[in-house]
Amino acid sequence: MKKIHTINKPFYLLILLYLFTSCIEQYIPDKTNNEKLIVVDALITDDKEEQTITLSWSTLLAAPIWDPIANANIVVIDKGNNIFEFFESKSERGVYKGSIPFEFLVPGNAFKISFTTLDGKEYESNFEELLTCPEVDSVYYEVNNDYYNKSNNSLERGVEFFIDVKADDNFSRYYRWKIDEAYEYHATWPIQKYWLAEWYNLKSPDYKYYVCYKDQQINSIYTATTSHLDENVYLKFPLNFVNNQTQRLYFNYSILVKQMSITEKSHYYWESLKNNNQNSGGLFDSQPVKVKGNIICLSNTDEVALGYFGVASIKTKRILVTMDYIEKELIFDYDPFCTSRKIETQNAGFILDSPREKWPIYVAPTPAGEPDGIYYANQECFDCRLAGGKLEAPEFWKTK
Amino acid sequence: MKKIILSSLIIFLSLSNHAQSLIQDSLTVHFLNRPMTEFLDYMQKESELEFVYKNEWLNKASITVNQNDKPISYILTKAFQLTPFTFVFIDPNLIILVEKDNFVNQIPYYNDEIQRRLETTTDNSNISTKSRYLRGRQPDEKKNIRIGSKSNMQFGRKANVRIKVIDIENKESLIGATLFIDELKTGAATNINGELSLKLSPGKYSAEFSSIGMANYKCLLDIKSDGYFTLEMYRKIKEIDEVTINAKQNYKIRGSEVGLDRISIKSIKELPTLMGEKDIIKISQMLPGVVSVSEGSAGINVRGGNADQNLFYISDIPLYNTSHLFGFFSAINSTTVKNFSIYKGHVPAKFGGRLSSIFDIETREGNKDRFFAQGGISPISANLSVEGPIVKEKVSYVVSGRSSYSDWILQKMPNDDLKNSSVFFYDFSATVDYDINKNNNIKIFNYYSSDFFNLNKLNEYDYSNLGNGISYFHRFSPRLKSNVSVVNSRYNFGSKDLNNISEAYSHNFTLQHTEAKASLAWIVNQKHSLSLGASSILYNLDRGKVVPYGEESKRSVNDLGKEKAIESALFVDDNFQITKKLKLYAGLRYSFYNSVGPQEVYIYNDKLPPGPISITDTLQYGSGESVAKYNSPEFRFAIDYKLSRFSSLKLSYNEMQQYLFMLSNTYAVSPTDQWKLSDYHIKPAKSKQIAVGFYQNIVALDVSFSSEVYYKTSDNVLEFKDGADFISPDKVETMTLQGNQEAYGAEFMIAKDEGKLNGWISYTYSRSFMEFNGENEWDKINEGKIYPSNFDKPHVLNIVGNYRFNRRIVLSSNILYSTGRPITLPQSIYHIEGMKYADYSDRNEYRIPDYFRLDLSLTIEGNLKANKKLHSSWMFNVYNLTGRKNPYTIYFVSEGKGLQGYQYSIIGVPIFTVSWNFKLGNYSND
Repeated sequence: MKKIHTINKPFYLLILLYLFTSCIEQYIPDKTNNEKLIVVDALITDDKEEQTITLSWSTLLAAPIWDPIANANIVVIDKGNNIFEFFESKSERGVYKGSIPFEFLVPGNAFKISFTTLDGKEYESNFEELLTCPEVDSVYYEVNNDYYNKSNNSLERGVEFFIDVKADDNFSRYYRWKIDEAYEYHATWPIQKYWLAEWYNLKSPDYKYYVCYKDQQINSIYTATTSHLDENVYLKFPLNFVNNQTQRLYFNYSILVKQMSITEKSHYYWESLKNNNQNSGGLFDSQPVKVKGNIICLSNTDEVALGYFGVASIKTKRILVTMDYIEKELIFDYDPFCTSRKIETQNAGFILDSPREKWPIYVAPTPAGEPDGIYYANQECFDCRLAGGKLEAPEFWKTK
Repeated sequence: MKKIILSSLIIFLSLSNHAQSLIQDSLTVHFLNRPMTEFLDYMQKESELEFVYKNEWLNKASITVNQNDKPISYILTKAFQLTPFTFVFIDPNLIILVEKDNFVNQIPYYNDEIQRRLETTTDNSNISTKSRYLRGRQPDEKKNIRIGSKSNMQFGRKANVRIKVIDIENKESLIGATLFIDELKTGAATNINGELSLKLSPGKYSAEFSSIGMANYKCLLDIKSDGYFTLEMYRKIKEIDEVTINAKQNYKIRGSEVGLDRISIKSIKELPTLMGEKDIIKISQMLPGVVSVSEGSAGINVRGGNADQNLFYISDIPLYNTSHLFGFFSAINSTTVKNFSIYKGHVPAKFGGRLSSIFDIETREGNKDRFFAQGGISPISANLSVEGPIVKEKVSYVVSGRSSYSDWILQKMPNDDLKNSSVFFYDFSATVDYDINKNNNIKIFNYYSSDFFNLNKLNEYDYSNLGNGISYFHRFSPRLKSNVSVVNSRYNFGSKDLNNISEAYSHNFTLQHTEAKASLAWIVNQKHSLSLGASSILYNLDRGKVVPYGEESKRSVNDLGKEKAIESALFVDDNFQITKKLKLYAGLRYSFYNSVGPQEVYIYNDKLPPGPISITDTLQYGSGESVAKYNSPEFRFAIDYKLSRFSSLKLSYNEMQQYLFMLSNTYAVSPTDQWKLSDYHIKPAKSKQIAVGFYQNIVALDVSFSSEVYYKTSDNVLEFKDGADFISPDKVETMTLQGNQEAYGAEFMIAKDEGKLNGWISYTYSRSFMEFNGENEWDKINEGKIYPSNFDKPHVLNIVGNYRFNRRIVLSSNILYSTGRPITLPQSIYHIEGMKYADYSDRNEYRIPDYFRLDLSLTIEGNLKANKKLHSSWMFNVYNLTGRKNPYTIYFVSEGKGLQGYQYSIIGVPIFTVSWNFKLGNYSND
C-alpha cells in the first residue's frame, strides 16, 4: 500500500551512540506465550511449472524448531475454476508439490489456495492476480565505505547493490525482489600432511578442496513501490550490502535478482513484514503490528493463518562483480586465513587419539620464522566444502 | 544591631500603651510544648487580636507558656522567648510576627525593658546606655528628609506623617519595619502594606529605620507639615560568620488545589541534570503523575494522557514543540523561568483546550532598577541573560539566549558520516515590562526556538517555535482587576529525506495559533471572589506539501492541505468561602469550535472501510464557510475542606475539551509529527476527571504529605491505524480512529521544604489504557481489545534530595524508578521462504525491563563576599551514576537465518559533566 516513513533511525541512533555512549546488547525475552498458528509459505511463479507450497506451525521464540504440517489436502484454483492438486513430498514432510502448466501462468489469470488439514479445518485465500513483470532495467553496485549496519549499530565498508526500475503504466507499481548471491571462496592451505589412521605426507600440495563456490538465497525482504512517484520509474533502489569482512568480495561475486510484480495487498504484507522484522522497535519507528495475510480459516473465522499466498511473474538478471574496480576502491580488512597452533610432539596423542569422525586431521605448514613441528588447524582451513560450498563452479563463471 | 531593633520595638510597644490597648488585656494561658499554630489559634480566639505571619513559620517552633491573668504583651513575650520569632504590635489589633535576627539568642525580659523605657521617655537628657551606644555610632546620621512644606505648616498641630518602607532591590513592601525617633523615644512599625504613620510636632528628629534582614537606615527627619514619602532600604550585607542563609528552597509544591504542582525555579537549580542542562520538563517528570515514554524522548504524559494532551504556555504563548534535540533537552531556557505550575487535576476555567494538563510557565520580569546579567556554560550549550531598566522604576527588559555548540563533538567523531552530520539548536526570549503606574502594566514577550539536524546529508530536520505576545493589566480598584492579552504562536517544521534519490522529498508544516483573551477578577467580598472572561483562538494550519527533492526524484507532489478553525471560549470561576473550613469552587468553561473552509470533504460509504474506493460524495466548502461546528460546556467543581489547621481534604471534578491532535505513528513524539484540527470527520475529544486529595503538614517532622487519587476517562482520543503514513495522500480520517482512554491512579508525596536536608519523595501507582472498538472490523485497533498505552507505567518512585553542607556546597540527588513501558514483542517464530519471521503479540502486551537511575550533583558556590562584581558557581553532575543500562528500546531483526532481539540503551554509562554559571553581583543577587 505504502512505504512507512519514519525518522532515519540509523543515524539518529549513531549520533546518540557517540554523544551519550549508548550501547546495544542482545535481548532475550523472558517469556512469551506460544500460540501455535498455521503458516502457509506459498508463492506461485510463472518461471516454472513445478510449484511448491509449504505448511508448518509457528514455533517458540526462544527455541525455534521446524514443525511441518503433514497430510494436508492442498489445491490451487484459478479464476477459470481449474484445480491444480498438490501432493506432499515423500522426502520432506510439510512440503507439497504441484504443477501448473504455463498456459495458465499468464498475466490476468488469478489463483487462490484452498486446503484442509488433517483435523478437518478448512482454509482459503482470496484470489491473487498474476501481474506482468517488466524486464529488469539495470542492477549495479558501488563501493560504500560508510554503510550503516543497524543490527550492530556500526559503520561498515563494502559493496552496495542497486536496482533501477523503468516501466510504464501497463505494469503494476508494486515490486518485490528476491536475491541469490554466489561467490567463490578459498581454504587457507592446500592439503599436504594429514593423519588418517596413519600419517600421510604428499609430495606436492593438493588443491582439490581449495576453491569452492557457494550459491544461496539472501534472507532479506526487498520491496518498493512507485505509487507515490510521478512515473513507474524507481532509480537506485538499494538492494543488498556485502561487507569486506568475509571472503565474498575477494575472488568472484555475483547476484541474481528476481524481480516480481505484485499486487498492492501483497506489497503491503511484505512491507509490514519488513517493518516488523528489519526496522522495528526504535522510538521513531512505527510500532510492530500483527501482520495479516490473505488466508482465512473457513471453519473458525477467529483463527488466523500466517503467511501470504502470492502469485508473481518473475524477470531475472544476474550481474557479476568486477574485481578490478572493487580492489581499487575498497579497503579490505578481513584476514581470510586460518591460524594454526603448534602441537608439541609429546602431545601428539591429541591427534593420534582423536575420534575417527574427526579425520582426516590436516597439518598446516610451519609458519615462516617458527620452529618446525606439528601445526594444527581446523579442517575447514583445508577443505572449503566444510563451509557449505561446492567444488564445481556455477555455469555463469564457467563460461567466463 | 539586635539591640537597636529590640529597643525600637519595645519602645514602640510602650508607646502604643497610651490608649488602653488590646494588647494590655489580661489572659490566662497554659501551653506546654504545643505547636505554634495551636497557640496562635488560641490567642486569636481569646483576644481580639489578629496575627500576621508566614505560614511556613508555623512548623518551626513550639510554644511553652504558663501565665495566669497577665497582659497579652507579656504573654507573647514569654511565649516567643525561646522561638526564632518576635512580634510587633500595631494599633489597634494587629500582631505581626517577625523573625529574630539570627544572632539574637534571647530576648530581654519584657517588663523590665518596658519599665526602663517608660522611665527614660520622661527625661530626654537621661539617655539609656543603649541609646547612648546608638548615639555614639551615629556619625553617619546625615541624610535629611524633609516632610511637608513650610507653607502648610500649622503651629500647634502635629503633622501627620506617612512613610512607606520598601526593599530597594525588589521594591517589595517591608512589613514590620520600624521607625525609632531617638529624641522622643517613640516609634512606629509598618503594617502589611509596608506603611506606617505617626503624628509628630514640626521639628527635626534623628530617625532610624530597621527591618529584619535590611541594613539600618539613619536620617534626619525634618517635619514641616503632613506628608508622605517612600523609604528604600538596602539589604543588610552580612559578614560570613554572622549569618546562616536559610535554605529557603520552597518545595510547597502541592496542596493549594487538587492536582496542581507549583515549582519555583530556584528550588530546582541544584538538581542533577543531563549534560548540565537545566530542564523544567524533566523536573516535572519527578513529580507524581507525570511520565514520558522513555528517557530522552520528547513529550510527556500526564495522568495517563497522550503527549498531545498537554498545553504549554510560556508567558501566555502556547508552545507546540517543547523539546530540543529530539527531546533530550527542553526548549524552555530555565534562566528565563520564574515559576511554573502544572494543572493536572482541577484546572481553572480560564484554561482549556487540552485533555490532560496545562503547564503555565511564568517568565522573569527584568530588574527595574539596575543592570543584571547571568549565564552559564555546559558541555552542550551556553546561555546568557541580561536585564535592566529602560526607564528606571518604570520599564525593564530581559533578554535571554541559549545556543548549542554540540556540533564540534560530531566534528571530532572518528567517521565521516558523523562529520557530515550536524545537530544544532538555540532559543531566545525577550520581555519588556512597563509599569505605567500602580494600576496599569504592560508586558511584551517574544520567544523563538529552533532546532536543526542534518544526519549524514541523508535526512534533514528543522523545527522552530516563534511566539509574540502582549498583555495589559489594569486595576480598577483593589478588588477589581482585568487582564487583556493577544498572542501569536507559530510552529513549523521541515524535513528532507534523501535516502533514496528516486523518492527523495521535502515537506514543510506550519501551525499558526493566534489568541486573544480578556479576563476580569473581582473580589466581591472577603468570602467570595469571581473571575470571568473570554478567549478566542484562530488556528491556521498548513499541513504542507510533500515535494520531490533533487533533480532525480520522481516523487509526486502531494498537497496535504490547509485547515482553518476558530476555537472560542467563555469562562467563569467562582470561589466561595462557605464556612471557615469549607470552600467551594465552581467553574464553567463553554467552548465553541468552528472549522471553516475552504475545504473538500469526502463522504464514505459506511459499509466499507473509508478510503479512495468507498467515497460516495464530495462536499466543497467555500472560504469562510463552516465545515463543522462543535461546542461543549466544561464543568469544573472543587470543594476544599479544612480538617484542621494542618490538614485538608479536597475534591474536584474537571472536564476538558480538545480540538486538535498530534498525528504520530511512532512510540515517542518525533520532530515530524503533525498537528491536525478537528474537522467534519474528526470529532473533538473530551475528558472527565474526578480527583480526591488529602494534604497534611506534619509539624513535628517539618514535612508535608499529600495524596491524590484520580479517575479519568477520555472520549474521541485519536490514534493511528496500523501502517498509517501521514505524508501519504490518504486522508487522515482513513488512517486514524477515535476511541476511549481510561486512566486512574494514586499519587503520594512527602516533601520537606527546608532545612539542611530537603527534597521530596513521590510514589505513584497508575494505569492508562486505550480502547478502539468500533462497530466494523476496520474500526478496531488490537481487535477492539483494551490495551495499555505506550506510557502505562504502574509504579513510579522518584526521590529528590538536597543536602546543604554550608552556604557554598550543596549535594543533590535524583533517584528514579519506574516500571518499564509496554511494548509489542514477538511471541512466536514462523518460517517463510527459508527465513524466520516474528509473529507479534497484541499491542503493548509486554514490558521492557524496569527503569532505574541515580544522579548526583555537587554545586559549589564562589566566595560569599558582599562586595564583588561577579559571582560564579560550579556544578558537577553525574547522570546515571550506577551506569545501569536502562533499555531505551527493544527491537528484533531478522538476520541471516535467525531472529535476534536487541536492547538499546542510550545512556549505558555514568555521564559526568561540569558546568559553570555566573551572575553579576554577589551570592544573594538575583
